[in-house]
Parts: sequence; structure tokens; C-alpha cells
Amino acid sequence: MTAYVGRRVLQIIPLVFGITIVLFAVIQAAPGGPEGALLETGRFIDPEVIEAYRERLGVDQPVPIQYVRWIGGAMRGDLGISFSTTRPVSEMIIERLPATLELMGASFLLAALLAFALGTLSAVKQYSWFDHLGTGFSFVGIAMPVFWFALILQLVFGVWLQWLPVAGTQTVGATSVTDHVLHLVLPTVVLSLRYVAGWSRYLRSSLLVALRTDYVRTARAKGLSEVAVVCVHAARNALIPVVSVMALNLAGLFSGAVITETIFAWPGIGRMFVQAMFARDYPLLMGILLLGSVMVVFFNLVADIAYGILDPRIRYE
Amino acid sequence: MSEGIPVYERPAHIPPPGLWTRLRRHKLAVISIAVVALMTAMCAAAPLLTGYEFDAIDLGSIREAPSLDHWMGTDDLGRDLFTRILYGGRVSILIGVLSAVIGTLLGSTVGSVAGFYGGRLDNVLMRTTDVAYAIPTLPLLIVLASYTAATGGSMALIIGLLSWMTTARVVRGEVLSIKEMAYVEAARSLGATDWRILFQHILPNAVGPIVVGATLAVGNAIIVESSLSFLGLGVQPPTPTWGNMLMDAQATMATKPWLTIFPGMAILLVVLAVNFIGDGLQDALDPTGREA
Amino acid sequence: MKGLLPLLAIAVGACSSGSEGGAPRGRSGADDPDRPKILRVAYTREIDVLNALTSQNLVDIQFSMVEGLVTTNENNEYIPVLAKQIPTENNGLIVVNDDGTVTMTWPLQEGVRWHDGEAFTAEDVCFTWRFVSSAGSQVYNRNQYLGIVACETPDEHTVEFTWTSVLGYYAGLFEAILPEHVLGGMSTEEIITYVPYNRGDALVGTGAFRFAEWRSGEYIRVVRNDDYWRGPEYPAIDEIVWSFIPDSNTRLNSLKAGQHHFGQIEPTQVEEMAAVDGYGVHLVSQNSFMHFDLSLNTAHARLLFGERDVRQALFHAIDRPAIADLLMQGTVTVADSPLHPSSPYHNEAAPSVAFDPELANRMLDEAGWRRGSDGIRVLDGERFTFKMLNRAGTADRIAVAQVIQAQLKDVGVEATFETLESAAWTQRWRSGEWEALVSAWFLPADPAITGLYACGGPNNMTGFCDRELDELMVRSDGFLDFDRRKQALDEAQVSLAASARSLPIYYNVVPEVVSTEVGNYRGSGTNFGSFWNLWQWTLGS
Repeated sequence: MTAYVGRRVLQIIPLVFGITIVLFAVIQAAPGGPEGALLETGRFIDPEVIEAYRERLGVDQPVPIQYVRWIGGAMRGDLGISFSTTRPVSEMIIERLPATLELMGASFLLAALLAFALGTLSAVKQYSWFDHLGTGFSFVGIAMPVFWFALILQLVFGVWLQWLPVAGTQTVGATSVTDHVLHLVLPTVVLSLRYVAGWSRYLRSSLLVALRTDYVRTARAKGLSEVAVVCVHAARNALIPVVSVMALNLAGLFSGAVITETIFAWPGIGRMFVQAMFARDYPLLMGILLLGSVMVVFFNLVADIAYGILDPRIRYE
Repeated sequence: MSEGIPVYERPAHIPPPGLWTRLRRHKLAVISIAVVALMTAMCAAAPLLTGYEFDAIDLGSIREAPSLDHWMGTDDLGRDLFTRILYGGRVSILIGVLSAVIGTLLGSTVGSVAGFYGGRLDNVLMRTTDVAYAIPTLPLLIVLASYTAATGGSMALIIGLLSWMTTARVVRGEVLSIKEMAYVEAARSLGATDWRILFQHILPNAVGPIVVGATLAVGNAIIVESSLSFLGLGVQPPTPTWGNMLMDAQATMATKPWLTIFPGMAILLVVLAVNFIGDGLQDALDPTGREA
Repeated sequence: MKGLLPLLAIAVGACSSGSEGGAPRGRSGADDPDRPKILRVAYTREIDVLNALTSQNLVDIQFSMVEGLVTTNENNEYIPVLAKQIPTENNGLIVVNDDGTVTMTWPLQEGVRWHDGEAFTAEDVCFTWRFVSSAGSQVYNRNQYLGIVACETPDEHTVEFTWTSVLGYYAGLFEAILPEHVLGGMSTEEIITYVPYNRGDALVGTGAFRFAEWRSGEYIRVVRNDDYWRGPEYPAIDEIVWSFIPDSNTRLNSLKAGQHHFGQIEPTQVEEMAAVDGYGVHLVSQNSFMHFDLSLNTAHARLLFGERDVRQALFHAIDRPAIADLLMQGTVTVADSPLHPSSPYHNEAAPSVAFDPELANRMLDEAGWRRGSDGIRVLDGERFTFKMLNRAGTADRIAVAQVIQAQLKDVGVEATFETLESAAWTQRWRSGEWEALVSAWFLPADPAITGLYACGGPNNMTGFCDRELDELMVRSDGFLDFDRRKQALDEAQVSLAASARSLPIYYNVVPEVVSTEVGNYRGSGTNFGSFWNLWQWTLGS
């Protein structure tokens, strides 16, 4: 196991390298460049201005050269300057991380709580009305388009009932935690429901299998309480698929969620990424993508390690 | 250790008796099959059910409430909403099913090969999965959409290609744990070939998560298409999909609610139904066999 | 929803026990004279940089802090700001020299100070000119400054430009002045990338408000400039918060919930918002027009659109009044000229294309395009089918394109769609590899349209070239005298319409929702926007 982990850790760097090359190629392959942003407003712009702009940004250079310049800087910790805001990319990302992590983290927590409760109870009380109700409820979370659900909640709770604020992270000028938490509620609910269905389904599915196995029957025969049987014996194996999916979703913690962030005007990285994509702001895009890639590779490793711990039958060569 | 050995093993080449019987027990799944079948049939038979064209613009009847002429009202260009729901359903359902098939096939193949053979092949495949997972949807979509028209088929392909990774990981995990089980070793010692072991002994036991993943994928694809419509991408007008119809109607959500309710409910119904079916299938296919 | 119930309880509790410092229902402190008057704006998107000249977005926020020699009012007229008056030949401030060059003198306001206390002088103006005209300055209308070859400062409050020749559009330049004492000594590139100025810390202007805070992704706050040169009674507002709310539905919801004093909404939401108390909905007609362009760039396009009569026939098939009245619910007016009706140069008599499908059918028949078996016209084996290039994400343009598609089909012409994502569309549009499209231009108050329609004009991506029209437009650029300029432009508008190369559809309208507590709002559709007179606005009774 240790050898396996060691090998995987060593692989991280070349893997991330490879990923950045693929990603750089992908975003450059999209037709159009940063000059598109110049023409957004519909004003007349001098073609010379456009050419000079491209030259200053270095996008008139061949793609491989642009990549080499970027990776050279990245290795020194310099992620470059954003095309649109002229600010250092690392500064922009760090600025948006707290809000992103807060929203994603809160959603994950809520989703995990709900998913474990729902999944376990559904599996244990299979075919009961609770099973169907719980399953149905978790399904609604993935059966409604995110923006529809978000706007409905916003309309009901923000406009009609006026219980919760409509957008932003806090009321301007207010510093209270309550105010901030109120702003967090709607986006968190919208986001968490997205995960609940998947996680609870996977958990229920594998719990059902695990609860039928021999050793669980043995544990029951030994007279252990149902709770002990489920939580201690069955859970271990049942957690495998859930954990792997959760770990993968966890990698998205740093990527934010563009629709929720846009609708609730939450200053997250997801929205920043989409804006940067439309503006072809390559340095900012690559900075965010680099962060995302490292997270994906890292959490994939975490998931694999978790496999190994949870299921001793799994042997890594 | 005797952990994890199922009590009853049925050789997987003999199908569990009465799959339909077992499925029938799951009432919700049965209802859902009926719902999906009905909706698909209606969408397929669209020209028979409605006299309007899906792109028949009528500026004099913009955003009308449901009436005898227009059962579901009209949209922002005066087109009959019921007609567009039917034609839009064709595209949305196609996207859902096609991308789920692509994603599940690809993911299961990669995952089972990686889990079964292990070693360097596993490493290469899983790292490829990592790379694929790290590529975000949006840029790839923008690139691909520039070279292909944003039709239902190309959307299905793109979404399918972006969704196989989770299935691959999950299947690999299942294969990894199952292949160590005693009965697999028994089969191997009896001289079974790799393929036989994989297809007859391992995969049937991994079918649960695969089915779960596939049904989630159908619904997910329909939702992803609607999310892309939110960003202004996705299937482009005048071709209707439930997703882009829902998005177009958001601005008047409070004043003309039928424009959002019908496409939204259509999505909700189909995705719910598909997931209930998956639920039922997963229980019915459970090879560990259960008491009645 | 287990976790939600306790949170809802908190929410209800919080609301009933009094608010935590928000501004419910547009309450701004108006009833309490000691509370600061804070204007809350639901702005559309986060801007890129605070440098008004290099920013690629609309510059409302910048202009609350930074001023220029002139601005535009709601009547499309240039009015002086930092200049005492706008030079004309009549007031003697423009002198045409014997060698053809022009000396233009701008007298400046006196007693104006930058936000950091430094005096505003003519040197700042010349510095701004040097920056804009330098290579690579990234200013969108840089080429219009190139007519100025010298800038002198005879005294601290007078600027003297030397122009190469007479150019009519001089009045619209210098909409913002940069501070020489902050940015002087830097190269062009350094100024463009100077983050302290771009981000606000080193931003000084002469405007009614000063920079206070920029919370990334959320809002920009500006506060009252207590030393504003117009007088201590201005501005009447203490603080402005520009919140970034990109989603139009969220903006509507936040306005309905009374959380902002000002916000833009969609035309389709006007009806809903009009019913809400405490707000007025203003349909601000923009200096921007929607148009249907044909091109001659590809061989196929030349085949289809080469003849003027065929183009004219296509335009006759399009029902613009229906588009304006029904599709846009009467919020817009049909356009017959690129120049907005509020502009003094707008030609009322420019020919209007009537909606006449019978005429269209006849003209196409006469041109030899006969209906084929599938209803689409054919000539010499070629079907009359072409591609319209749509830009993803522009719902209003795509809606108009669909209407045009349907109406052209009625006369036997098939238009298919090719939809490209934003930046990809821009690239393709500029490359000229397209046949038809629906788009919108945003014009400054100055009526120069040469760049749009001239042969090889920098913004003429259609491939059309009409020498007669060119001559008219170039001539109009060379007049300082209003009447002569107007006459040339009137003729140009007629010639443009007659050439049937592009069909103006309607003038864009932006619905602006303004709280009834706001006073002196004068909505303007120019590129300076409706905030052009923020220094005059009042809040509350």
C-alpha cells in the first residue's frame, strides 16, 4: 500500500503537466480570442487597436510558445496577468477562494448529512413508504434544472415571503454573521440537492448488497443490534462506491458552481471561470484550470487510498 | 476470512427467474416505465397529435395562456407550446438516452478492464480518466460546438463523452473488490478465461452501480443540456428542447407561469421516472438473490 | 429538508425582530436626515478596470468618479464638463489656419481639484492626449485622436490642440481625463497595466464621487467628494453602491424585493415591474439599432445578394412594425436610419422600407427567382438558401432572426441558422466569412458613420462598397458647420437606404427601473449612459 501511494504521489507532477498541456490546447482551440471582449459593447473599434491589443497580450504568438511562457511562469509560482483586469491571476483566484469554499463546503456538508440519512434509512427500510418518499425527494434534487429550482426558491423566499435575501453574500454595510448566513441559505440548499440524489442512491444501492452478505447475517445471528450491524459491519463495504463519488465531487469544491453563483450573485470561482472563458482570458483560465486539475488528481488519489482502507480485500500491486 | 461471500450464488449465465416478476414488485418502477413509454410515444408521434409546426411563428398570439386552440398556450414567438413540448421531447429524450448509453458503455469498459487487469494498464487507464475528468465541460463544449452544429446528436455525444469517468471509477472499484472473492478464484481455478470471469462472474455483481449510474446519466444529460441553455449554449433555436424552452421562459416566470411549468414538469417527470426505473432494475437485477 | 427548518426559523425571527442594516423597500435614510443617503444600484456585470479609457465595458461606474472635457446628455447633445465651453467656429475657439490645419482652444473650468487635492490643469489634458494617441493605448476610438498633432498649454486653464484638418467629430473626444501627477512618467503599457489605478487605490478623478471599495465579484462603493468643483451642495447623495448582479431575473427579483434603487430589466419584464409600487419603469431608447446585414463576401452570397432589387425584395418581406409592436411588445420603435431620432442629424425623410410581401414576391419573380417544388425559389439550379450567423447568448437578436427566417420563408427564401459562441462569432464576423446576420451597433453621439459603411471601412465587414456613399460620408466628416454637415449626412442616409445593403430594424431600448425616491434622473441612451448627471441626483424627499 505504501509503495502504491508513493508511486501515485510521484505521478502527480507529470500528470498535472500533461493535463495542463491538454487544457491549454483545448482552450486555445476554441475559435476567437481575447479581442472578442473589446467588441462586446458594439462600439466601433479601430482594427489597429485590436492588433496592438493582441500583440501586448502575446496571443499573436504560436500556441506552443504561449504555453512555454505560461508553464515557465507557473513553475516559478507566477500565474501571469489576467487579460481583462490586468491583475495577477493568483491574486484574483485567492480572493474568490473563501467564498467558493464556503458555499461548496456548506453544500457538501448538508448534502452528506441528508444523503447518509436518506440512503441508510432507505436501504434499511426497503420498499417502505419512507423508502419511496425519501428516494423520490432525493430524485427531485436531480430532476429539476438547477436554474429553475434556484429562481423558484428566490421568487418564493426572496420576493413573495421576503424571508431571505435575493443575492449577494451579505447586505452591504452589514457585518453580522446572521446576515451572512441568511445569504448563504438559498444557494447552499440549491447546490446540496444536486449531490444528495447521487450519493444517497449509491449508498442505498451498495448498502442493500452489503446487508445481504454472509457476515452481516452472522452479525445479526450473534444478536448485535441493527444499528451496530448497519453502521459498523455493512457500512464499511457499502461506503466504497459512495466514497469514490464523493471524492470526485469533492475535487469540484474549488471549481464552484456557475449557475448557482450567477443567480445568487455569489462571488465564486465558477462564475469567474465562465466569464473568463467567454472573454478568452487565457491566463486566468489556465490558473483556475491548474487549480482544478491539481484538486482532481489529488482527490482521485485520496479516493483510491480510501478504497484501500475501507476494503482490505483490495490489493494494490 | 469469510467476509463478503454472498450466501447464494447463482451462475450468472442463468438469468434470475422472472426478471419481469421481480421488477413488477417495484410499483413505482412499473408506473415509471409506463410514463416514459407514453411520453416517448407521444413525442415520436408528434405530427399525429398536433397540427402545428414547431417553428410556426405567429406574432399575433405571443405568450397566450392555455386555451382550446393552444392546449398549453403559446411561447414568446407565438408558437404552440404543446407542439414544441412534443418535438422538444424528441430531442431531450434522445440526448438523455444516447449520452447515457455512450457514457455507460465507455465507462464500464474502461473501469472493468482497469480493475480486472490492474497493474500498468490500470494505472494508464485511470490516469487517462483523471485527465479526462480534469477537462471542464464548458471550454470543451465551446470548442466542439464550433466544429459541429449544436444539434441534439452532437450534444448527446459531447455530454456522453464528458460523463463516462464517474462510471469508470465506480465500476473499477466494484471489479477490484469482487475479483478477490472466493468464487472468482474458484472459477479461475476451474480454468475459466479472463473474459468469462469478467462477464459472467464479476460484472453481473457490479451491475447495481452500473445501472444506477446509467439511469442517473440519462437524467443528468437532460439537466446538463438545460444548464447549457442557461449559458446560452446548448441546442440552438429554432430547435426546441425542454431545457432551452425552460430557459427562454425564465424572464416571465411569475407572469406567464405556464411557459416554465410545462417544460419544467416534462423534465421533472421524465427524469424522475427514469430514476425510479433504474431503482427498480437495480433491485430486480440483484444477483445475490433475495427472499420473496 | 431537515436542515432547512431551523434556518428558516432563524430567518423569520431575524426579520420580525428588526433588520440587520439592510435597505428594505428602497428605504435610504431619507426619512432620517442623519443617516447617509446611499444609492443602491443593481448593476449588470462586474467591470474589468477602473481606467475609463482602457476599459472594455460600459463606463458608468468610472464616470461617477472620473470626468472628461465633455459628456452627452439625454438629448444626444454634447455638453461641457471640465471644459467651460465646447469650441466652435462661431465662438472663435476654432480657427482654420491658412495651411489647412486647425487650432482648437478649450478653456477649462477653474478651481477643480483631483480627489487627492492636486489641482486639475491643462497639462492633464495634454497628458491624456499623449497617452491615447500613443501606439498600443488600447483606447477604442484612438484613431479619432490621431487628427491632433500638437497639444499646448498656454496657461493652466487653457488647452490648445492643433488638428491636421477639419474633422467634425472632435467634440466627442476626451470623455475622461487621466491624472498626470499619478500616471505621468509611465510608458503606455505600464499605464494600461497599472493595477493601483485600475483597481481603485490610486484612482483619482475630478468627479462628484471618490473611490471607496471594490469587493471582488460583489460591488464597488464610491463616496461623496466633499470638494467637488461644482459646489459644496453637490452631490446630494453620500454614497453609491454598484452591486454586480449578472442574472436579469435576479435583478428583477431584487428590485421587486425593494433591495435596490436602480436596475436594468428585460423588455419582457416591463409589464411585471410596472405593477410594483415605489418604482418607475423608464424605457430608455438607446443610440443603438438592431440591423439585418447581408454580405457580398462569399461567392454564394454574391450570387444571391448581388442585385439591389433582390436585396430590396428581401427587405420588403420583413414586417418590422410587427417585430416592434408584437415581438418587442411596443417597447421599441422601427428604425430607418442608423442615426437615432433624438440626434439632430437624423434624417426624418430617409426612405422607409414598407412591409409588402406581394411586392417582394413580384420583385423576386422578376429577378428570375422562381418557386421550386418545395416552395423555395430557384435560379439556374441554385436554391435561394443562405446561412444566418447567430451569436449564442443574444436572445433578442436570435428572436428577431427567427422572425426574419419565418417571414422570408413566406416569400420562398430559406434562411438557415449557424450559431456560434460569443468570441467565435466575433472572429467569424470580423473575418467576413458569413452571408447574413442580425446584430446591433452602439453609436456615440457624434454622427460619423464612415467607419461602418465606407469601402474597406474598419467596421465594414459586409464587403459592400459604394463610392457615392463614401464621398458623402467623408465630406460630412470634414465639416464643422452644423448645417453643411447635416446636409451631407442627410444625403448619406438616403443613399444608404437606397442601396439596400442593410436593413435597420429597431432602436434598442433598455428598460430602467428607478425608485421614486430618486430625483433628477434623466435617462439617456448614449454610450455615457443614464448616470451622466449623477452629481445632480437626489435621494429621498
